[in-house]
Amino acid sequence: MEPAAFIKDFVIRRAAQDAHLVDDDVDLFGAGLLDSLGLLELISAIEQRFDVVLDLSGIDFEQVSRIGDFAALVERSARACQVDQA
Amino acid sequence: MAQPPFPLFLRRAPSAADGHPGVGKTSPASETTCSGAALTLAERFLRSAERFPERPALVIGGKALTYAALHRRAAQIARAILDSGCARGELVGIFAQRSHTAFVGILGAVMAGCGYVPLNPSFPTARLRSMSEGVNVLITEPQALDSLDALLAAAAEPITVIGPEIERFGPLPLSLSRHRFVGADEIDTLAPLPEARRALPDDIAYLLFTSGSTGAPKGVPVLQRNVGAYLDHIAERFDLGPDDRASQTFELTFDLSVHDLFATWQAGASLCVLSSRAVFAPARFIVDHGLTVWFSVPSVAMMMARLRLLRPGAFPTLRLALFCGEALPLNTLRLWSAAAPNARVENLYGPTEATIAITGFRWAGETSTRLCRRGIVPIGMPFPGQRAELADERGGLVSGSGRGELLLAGTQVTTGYWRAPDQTASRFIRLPGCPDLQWYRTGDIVERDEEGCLHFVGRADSQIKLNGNRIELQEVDAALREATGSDLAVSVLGPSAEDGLRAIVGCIDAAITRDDAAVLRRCAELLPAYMMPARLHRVRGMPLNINGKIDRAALAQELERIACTPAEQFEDANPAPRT
Repeated sequence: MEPAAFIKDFVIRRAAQDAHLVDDDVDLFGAGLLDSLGLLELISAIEQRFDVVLDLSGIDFEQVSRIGDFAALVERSARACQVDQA
Repeated sequence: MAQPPFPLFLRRAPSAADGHPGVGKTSPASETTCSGAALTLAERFLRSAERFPERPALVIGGKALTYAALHRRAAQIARAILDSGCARGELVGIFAQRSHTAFVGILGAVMAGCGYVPLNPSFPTARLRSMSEGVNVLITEPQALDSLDALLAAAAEPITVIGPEIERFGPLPLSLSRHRFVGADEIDTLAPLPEARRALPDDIAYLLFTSGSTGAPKGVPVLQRNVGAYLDHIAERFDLGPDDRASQTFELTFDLSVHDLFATWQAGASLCVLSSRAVFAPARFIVDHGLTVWFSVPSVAMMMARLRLLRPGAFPTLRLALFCGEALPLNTLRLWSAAAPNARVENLYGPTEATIAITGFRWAGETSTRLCRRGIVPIGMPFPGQRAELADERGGLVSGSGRGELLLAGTQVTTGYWRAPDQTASRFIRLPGCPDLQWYRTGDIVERDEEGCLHFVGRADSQIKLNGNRIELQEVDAALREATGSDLAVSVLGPSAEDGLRAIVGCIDAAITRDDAAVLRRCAELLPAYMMPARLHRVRGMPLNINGKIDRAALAQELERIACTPAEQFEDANPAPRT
């Protein structure tokens, strides 16, 4: 499963929202779909599922707030892990 | 000579002075020593505005406002408040969250010689109505306009609505025509109040509401002299100055925010406001703003640890880090200390009734580790001039080391609850042989060690802290009972799906026909977001304790058991919609 699809599925199940309300452009925090606990659970789930370690130290959650933003984060981290292992 | 045990606390009979001291007139002389020359909240800000007019006072949304600019705007708002007929010592509602309006509104209120009442616009209307009973002026932000109608509709008296960031108010329904609306364009024309209208020591500085075990929130009016005593001690304790840049993380309905604002402004320092989502993961904000002072609940640090944001040396600019609001785990403090190697770190403690914080423990590195009990950092010693005693079950005072309920007295301790004489009488007491002092019973079970250092142990009742928020589970119970139409409903602090993090779980009778979503929606009409159950758990046979009441502890244990059994973790298919 692609990161974007996984994240979307996670948010839908956790927030008990109808799928059509959770689109790729919605600000997850602003829409109340993700709070601090939700963020923690999401990061945990992503790291387990995709076997990556996400570096959040430079992240500004005003900029990273949509499903696509998180998916891009996963893809960047996956590439970084590969580079480390090369 | 050992003290004979006191059979019961002497209860102070409720008097006419209970409820709202100082509104519009001088109040009875206080019975504790008045610090005399303590400055009012307004004076602390104004002194810095005079000395450092061009320094940044407030940094919010990427923009900095100087002391001079903030002063001018606040002084115009103060003029608008005076023009509305609000008397000295009366209350001004701040119908805003941590926006420009909120901060300038608070300053405007205190410059007008008034107290302020933070009213979070996202709270349920019913709750806001009970919180705004004494309020005839509402400082309102643009984002709150949707919720304003409902609040005004229920108002018995005409309200003056002041909107420093609302260009002009649009056409209003006839139903609201008895109220008065002052928009930014009108405020722009007002002559700034040249001097603050001076609040008196017994005037209310702020009125905050905490969770009440009867099901309705309790108002705690904190007086100018209470908060003056706190801020004077903080000035001595921490030596902040105009070069400091301090975090603002606490909601305005949380009294720790009063420290953020006035400890910072009395020093001429800059208050840097974190957005709510920046508070989830503040590492970037701390670095970008070069913060020198941090103050948050321990949960924020724990969250940062989980997200691996507390790397050693990550925050070299911090020179002071304070935590308060809930138990601080030793491991969290160590991680924070390593991440902020140049910071003095302190753990503060205090209920709202004792003004922000009244005891503190200074972390001294690894030598402090041996002082920790049960893996948490001590709450330390009472601030100078404030008193702490421990009461055993029989009402006697514990002398020397030992354990008991913490009682507090001194210039920081408030005089009672807002319009609630019975609750005041049960929590604010006098001790036999000590007629001059009024003590507040915290309900916290605390240990005092051989050095006199205090350690938090737990509660005697069902009050909990969640992310530093004080919640009476009985208040959540009341909402659950109303939402299910059944008495077989009780809230429990249970495990969340994420390992180790807690959340409120609403345990309800399995036979309730109303579906979970409907129950939670009704709860959301009664409870603010921070008190909402995260999910519901249906129970086939409610465990009862020996008194025939639902056994909360047994339910908590059952939830823990389920959490440890992987297959059963996904039974709860209906988590609450979150905010």
